[in-house]
Amino acid sequence: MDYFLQNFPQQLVNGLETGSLYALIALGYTLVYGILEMLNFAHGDVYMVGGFLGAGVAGLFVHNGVAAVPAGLIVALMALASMGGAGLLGVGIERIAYRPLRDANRLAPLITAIGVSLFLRSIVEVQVSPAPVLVPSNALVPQTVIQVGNVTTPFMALALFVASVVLMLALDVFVFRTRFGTAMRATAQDREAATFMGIDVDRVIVATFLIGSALAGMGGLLFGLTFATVNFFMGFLIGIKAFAAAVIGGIGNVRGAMVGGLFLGVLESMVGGFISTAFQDTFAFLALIVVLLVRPQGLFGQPLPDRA
Amino acid sequence: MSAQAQAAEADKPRLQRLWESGPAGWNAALAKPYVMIPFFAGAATAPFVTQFFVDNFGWTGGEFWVRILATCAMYATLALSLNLVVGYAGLLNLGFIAFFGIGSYAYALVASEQLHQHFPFWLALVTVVFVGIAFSLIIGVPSLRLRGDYLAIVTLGFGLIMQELTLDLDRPPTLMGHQFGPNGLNITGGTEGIHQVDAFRIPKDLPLLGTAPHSWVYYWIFLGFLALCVFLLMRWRHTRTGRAWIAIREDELAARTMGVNTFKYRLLAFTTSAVIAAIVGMINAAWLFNAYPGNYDVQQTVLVFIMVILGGLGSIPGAIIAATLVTILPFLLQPLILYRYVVFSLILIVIMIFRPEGLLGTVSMRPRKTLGGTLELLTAETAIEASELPAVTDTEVADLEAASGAIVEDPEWKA
Amino acid sequence: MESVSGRASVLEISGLTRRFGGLTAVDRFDVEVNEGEIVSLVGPNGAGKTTVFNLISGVLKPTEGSIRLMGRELVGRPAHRITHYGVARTFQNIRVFPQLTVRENILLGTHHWTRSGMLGSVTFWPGTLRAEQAAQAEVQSAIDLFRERLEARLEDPAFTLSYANRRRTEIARALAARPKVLLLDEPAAGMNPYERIEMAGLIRSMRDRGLTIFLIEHHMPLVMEISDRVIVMDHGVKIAEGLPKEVHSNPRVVEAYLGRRAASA
Repeated sequence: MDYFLQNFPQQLVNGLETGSLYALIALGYTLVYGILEMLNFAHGDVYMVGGFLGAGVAGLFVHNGVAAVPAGLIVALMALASMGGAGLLGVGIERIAYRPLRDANRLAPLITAIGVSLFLRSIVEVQVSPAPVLVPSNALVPQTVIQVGNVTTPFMALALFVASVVLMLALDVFVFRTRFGTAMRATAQDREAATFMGIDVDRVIVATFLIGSALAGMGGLLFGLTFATVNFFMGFLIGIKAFAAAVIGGIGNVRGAMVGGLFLGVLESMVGGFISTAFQDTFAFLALIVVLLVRPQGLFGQPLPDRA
Repeated sequence: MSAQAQAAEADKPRLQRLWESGPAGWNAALAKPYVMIPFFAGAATAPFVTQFFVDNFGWTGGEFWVRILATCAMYATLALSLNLVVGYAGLLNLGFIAFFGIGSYAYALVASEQLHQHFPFWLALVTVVFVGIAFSLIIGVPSLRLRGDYLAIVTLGFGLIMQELTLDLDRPPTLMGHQFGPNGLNITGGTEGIHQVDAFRIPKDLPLLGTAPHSWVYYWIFLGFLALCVFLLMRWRHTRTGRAWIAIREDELAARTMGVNTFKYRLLAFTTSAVIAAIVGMINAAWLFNAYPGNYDVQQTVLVFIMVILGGLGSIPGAIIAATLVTILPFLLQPLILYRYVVFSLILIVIMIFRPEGLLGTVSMRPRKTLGGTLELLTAETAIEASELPAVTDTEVADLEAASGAIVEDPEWKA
Repeated sequence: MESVSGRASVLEISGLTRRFGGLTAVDRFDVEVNEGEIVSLVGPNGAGKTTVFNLISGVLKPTEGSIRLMGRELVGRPAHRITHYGVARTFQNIRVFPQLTVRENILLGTHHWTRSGMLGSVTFWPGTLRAEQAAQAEVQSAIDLFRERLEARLEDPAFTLSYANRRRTEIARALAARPKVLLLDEPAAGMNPYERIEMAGLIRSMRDRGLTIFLIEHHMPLVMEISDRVIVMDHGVKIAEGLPKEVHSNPRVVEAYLGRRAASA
């Protein structure tokens, strides 16, 4: 028991850190699923591309560990590159790969998404780098570590958490308090009816992909700055976990994605700290399977209709 | 078609009719015993052909190409298995390759020094089948009631869990600092995998020709198993089981109201596909003398998906052709071998957008503009049918209309 | 279980109710369908008729009520078991299996009574082969009523068929299930007068062969012509039942279809 109490706070903090990351990515999944009822497998890899774009910008301005211009400016440019680039990538993918299949059999866009996911991964692996790429976060963000009791929290972990919460709140306001947000929710509920109401569904879908992908790109950037590295494989596993988080929180529900992400991060951290790091992923998926069997609508979702 | 049209059709030469019937017709023509049997017989002679070139022209690639052909046969079987679960039953099993891994590890554990067991061939086979069924039930029973996209994620998660477990069971598991199991407990060999797996203990002597090389024997084993699977799938397709599978895929609700126990049939497809993949894994382990964590690699699932989609969902010849192409092409275009995943994933995307049926597929994934059918339903037939004489006379029509009485003026009244 | 007409009761529905949240789609619906009868269920759109069929065939579960087929309770049974007990249906918007041939569609109807499994088919087990043959033979008798309209199209995939032929295929498929009661959901929908007359004849022929038929139909002349009894539904409630002539002059029925003014006109 002592062991537990001693380590719990640290594990909690670690869990919130990874959970914030999951939440950012889960938001994109849940937005797209809410509108198109489609699992965008490529979403995790968009996150990865965002990370690489940020790393690329950093590489332009940081030489030998020294920033050529003020660090704040570089980070801002990185954010622009990551969010903007990822956003555009997401929009492009929707336009080229998903839109033609919008009314087809349900499995079709899923299979295409798998192809897109593999494409992004392999092209970054071959064209950019098969080995992890370093991000000079030393030169760009404060490396201070906050110590409370025996709990250590690096600055970036806190920044990650804060950024996620802020973005989620902003998204929440956007979806629930703006006209366009209402249009998005209407489209998610009944696409056909939305067109009758004069909503430009195509524009709503493009915006959804833009926002979701930009958030993922931000996630990639934050990951790079927090862990000082990006690699071509980083999107795959985290993408699946983020989807699990979205489902646990209630797929299609923005608040659910946030809660689900944090919950999953903490769960993993607890398993890793108290059972074994080897079984972290296993538990994450077990949680997903249990939720799907016991309460498929997740924590915040509406009850789903009977089966496919 | 009307009698006249049929007569006109029969006049065309057979080959021309075949060509005009399009991919669906080609698929039906290729998936016949009189095509398959010669094909497999011919394929079986391939090692002799390579030997001929080695002996008479000093070709050094003989052994290498036999191994490639063995790999083709292996992937073709995997593609057929995935075709069964995705193309026939409509289940997106993204953790598919996990069963290949399970088969290879199950065999390796009973036929190597890892657990000091050396089962004879038949016993090992039974074990692998049993393990395959067990795992497919564990993951299938809870998941097959879920919607397609959820099923995809759950199976994907299952595949990743299996890979995790395999990599981590080379040491005793710990809980809160306590260790379970003795020190040095190493079940799966971790990242190394299991080495020195026994090959199958079967006779390798060919009449008149002496001992066959290892790669030849395994090429024939893969080929033979592929042929068996082709037989099974073709047989099922033309009997009640296959019809039920396709009905479920086409219209699950209608299938249920026709008396098909959809859950049972989904589970049957899932499990059969899993067992096939497991047996392929077993043969692979015996061939390469090891079981390797890379066998669980999700990349492989995507590769097999690409084969299935390229060949066409629901098409047996398509799966075989596509598997062969996808396996061989990187070797023929050596400089591009690094880009193979880039190219294949692009091919997958392009196919899904422009021609989801692939080469010879029979499953239409295109947008359904009308109820329960594709665009074709409004063509051809209607024109011919309209010209046939009605079966009743005009007076009968008038009688029926007159029978309506007070309420109805217009025969098509609705509230 | 003898009814007024002296025939055995095949389908007994009592107190059938289905609620969807606040909406009561079917409200305490009762009906008895007797052997060899053709009973029509009519009513304005949205009256709950197809919901009744969905409840009988097990696609939906009732909120309350009971459905008995030859005395056996159907409520709570999975749809595929209900088919096996003897209920076959067609759908308002025709659900044939597009990629299966006409023959294979009809063979699906035989699924529930054919003993042919995975193992038997690959080992060429005699019992399995016999079962497959029996199923194939059933196809011939199922299309018997269509005067060879489907014969020429047997090996064509269903998606190439005309609307009328797909309707016929769906009916043949239901017949192949050898049902005790056949539920037809708007069998004459989308047909021209000639086809409707053919359909009327078809329904009568099926009844003459011993089938009990419960149908939903909007085309009143057809209903009047072939029904032994007509049941009228409106807003989930049965508002009239009786012989065709009785029902169509019933003021409540007129009101349901055309509004109060027309009823008093």
